Amino acid sequence: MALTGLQIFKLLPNKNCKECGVPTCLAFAMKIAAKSVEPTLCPYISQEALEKLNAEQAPPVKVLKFNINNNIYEIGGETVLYRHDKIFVNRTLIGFNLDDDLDDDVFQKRVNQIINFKYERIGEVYYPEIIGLTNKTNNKDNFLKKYKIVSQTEKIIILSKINFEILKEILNIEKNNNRIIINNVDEKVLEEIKEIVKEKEIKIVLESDNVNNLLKLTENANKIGLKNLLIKFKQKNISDLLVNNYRIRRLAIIENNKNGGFPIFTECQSIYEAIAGICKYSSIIILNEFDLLSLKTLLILRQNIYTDPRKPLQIEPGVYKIGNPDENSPLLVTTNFSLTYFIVSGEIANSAFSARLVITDSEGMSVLTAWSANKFNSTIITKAIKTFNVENEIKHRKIIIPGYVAVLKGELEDELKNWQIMVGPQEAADLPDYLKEMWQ
Amino acid sequence: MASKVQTIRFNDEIIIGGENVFLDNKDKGEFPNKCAFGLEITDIEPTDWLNSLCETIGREEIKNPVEWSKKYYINYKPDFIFINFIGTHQDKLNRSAEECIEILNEILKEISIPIIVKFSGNFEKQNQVITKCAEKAIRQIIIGSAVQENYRVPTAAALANNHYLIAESPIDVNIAKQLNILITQLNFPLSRIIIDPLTGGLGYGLEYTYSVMERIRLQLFNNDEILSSPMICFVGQETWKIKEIKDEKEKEKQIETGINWEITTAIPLIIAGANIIIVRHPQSLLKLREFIKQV
Ligand code: B12
Ligand code: SF4
Repeated sequence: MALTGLQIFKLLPNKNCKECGVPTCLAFAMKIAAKSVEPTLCPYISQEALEKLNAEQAPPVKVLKFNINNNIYEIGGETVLYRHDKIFVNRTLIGFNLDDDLDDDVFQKRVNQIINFKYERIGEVYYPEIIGLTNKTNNKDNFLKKYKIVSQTEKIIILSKINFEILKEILNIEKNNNRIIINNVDEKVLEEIKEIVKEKEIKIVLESDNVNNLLKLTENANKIGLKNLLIKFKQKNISDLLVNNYRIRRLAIIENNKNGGFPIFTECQSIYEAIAGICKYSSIIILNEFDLLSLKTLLILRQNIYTDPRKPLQIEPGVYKIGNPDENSPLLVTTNFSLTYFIVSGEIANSAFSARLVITDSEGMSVLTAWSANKFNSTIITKAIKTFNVENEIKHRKIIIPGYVAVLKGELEDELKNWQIMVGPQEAADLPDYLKEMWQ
Repeated sequence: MASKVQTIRFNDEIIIGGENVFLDNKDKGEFPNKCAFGLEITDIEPTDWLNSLCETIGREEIKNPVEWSKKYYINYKPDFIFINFIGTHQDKLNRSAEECIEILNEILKEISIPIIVKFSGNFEKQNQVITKCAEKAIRQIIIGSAVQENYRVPTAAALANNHYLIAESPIDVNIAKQLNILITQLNFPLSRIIIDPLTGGLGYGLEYTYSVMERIRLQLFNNDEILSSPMICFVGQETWKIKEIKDEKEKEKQIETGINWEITTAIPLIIAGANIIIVRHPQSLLKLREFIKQV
């Protein structure tokens, strides 16, 4: 809970010297509580007070940052238990684990497949951010050779079941240790890890089988100065995963238990676990099964769950050219919901035509949703055509409307005198054939 | 104690419902019955279904709903069979109520698991067929759907003949609540309503359905009894029409993508509180059974 004005006042020097621009420390404390002023405005504020105030501002779940050649990724920073309460802030990062006992060409092939995996959907490129490397053989040279291959990529690297001698060597050769996550750390090796990690920005995965032990573990790790922590449960089944993840996230967010406030790391044997983890609070999902098809659907699920519920993904209204249309090219219209735009423009691109697509301001709703909410009707379409002065760009006066809102044809004919209103197919997938047949 | 989800009985055995917590809070409450799974069939050959899907099910079976339901019943033991009467649409086959009841009763004779029915067409046509099927069905079924704009006739038909009723709302907690109020005001028992919050498929609105279902359950567990209905999600119809499947060239890839899409749509909805999931591909049913064993 945020500190009250009075609690903040107790942290201030109580000199009432007005240098902060406010007559008294109490008044300044009230401003801090209302977040309308930076505490550092008081030149005499103590370091301890500043740290306390910063701890208050920090989200209940710690933020961890990765920077690989300016690819920045953040995890954690969550503030709510349910996405509809506000938003889930930082998307789950996803990757595959590779064992070091794979023979070299299979290993290289998989690394290449991970690097080359790019999937574009609704104007965004989805890809896995992580490669995990598990130390199965105790052959140092083999592991270091495989590590070199992975470190040439721009991925976050997880080192699992790693022998500490090999780990020390890696940390000597790895220039960017901000990208490293050391997995499988429990109480027994906490001190040893602190010795190896020292002040480096390496992330540590603390693992335990239940919530209470994990809370003690994070507390001890904090005490000896280990800060960049993730938490992991050795779950037996998906029920464990769901219950543990919820329990610890609830402790952090509702009960303000700082020892539970860390990003959750989940190792998945199956796609089912990965789906459950993305829905229920996992910040990192590492897949042991190398299955690229499932990766595609997981990346879309992640985008869905982490979409901002407060406003739909939308694009700017206007006239969008697909291909390079001339003044005789077809003219179509739809709403500014990103999903709708990318499906319709994609299907036009699949056709043999270049075209112009008028995008109305329909508050980011799909065609039928917007039509039902009266945000996609003949007036709005006519207004779009006028404001974006479409008539100067084309010689013909024909417009194709979505098949699902064929009912708009009549009204549109009244508002757009001497225009021909063509009713297109209901499904955008049928546009290529429709254009071929109907557009002369 | 938090309010519970109503239970659905079949042959005096409770098959779904009764929980008063989410799956991820299972250890703090009761969760007696896991999510159940059903397979969708249609009353006429589904011409808009993906070819590769029809081939894997079997070209002959999909022409005969009785054979189709028997094949599913024998091979996969689904918890439900959903018969989607697409033939009743007045602009299509405009199939009569008599024909529908004949098919329905033959299936009800052949297989002894709960049957869910929905009819297509305008409200007038749907109401005509619902009333007849509710009256003539030889045992208790689940009838879909009452909607805000058309709930009187479906409610009356399900009330008079002791059937369960699906109440469909367009991904909106307030409309879901309002619809349950309207239906129960006609003396229809709250214990026989099933809410269909309307499924948006993965990548096509899933997150809206996911959040509405979480909100419906949170309100129930805060003792808003009117929302105590179990929830059903028709995942199949929102999956197999999508572009990402049709863009795959090879048949196997289309099927693999479709199955993946069905389970990646279904599992989040189960976590959000779904009690019945309907899919189209039998493999999706088997995979969801693997999942639910671990929950
Ligand atoms: C997700 C969703 C929502 C989300 C909004 C998502 C969004 N940002 O738009 C929420 C939950 C907010 C919502 C709200 C409502 N919704 Co809504 N919603 C859906 C749902 C599940 C998916 C919509 C979607 O994303 N479609 C995908 C996009 C790509 O489809 P599209 O834009 O129509 O584009 C397709 C075609 O139209 C065509 N096309 C598009 N543009 C063009 C252009 C041309 C030239 C051509 C040829 C073709 C073409 O190609 C696309 C794919 O083939 C649908 C049901 C369903 N499963 O489809 C209901 C649905 C659209 N909603 C509906 C309704 C009624 C509403 C509400 C009015 C309900 C209410 N609460 O009162 C509200 C309206 C908004 C409001 N605030 O009042 C109804 C509409 C019924 C009707 N016939 O009008 C539907 C069909 C559900 C139903 N069956 O009742 N909804
Ligand atoms: S500058 Fe600091 S000490 Fe001076 S009045 Fe402001 S808060 Fe008080």
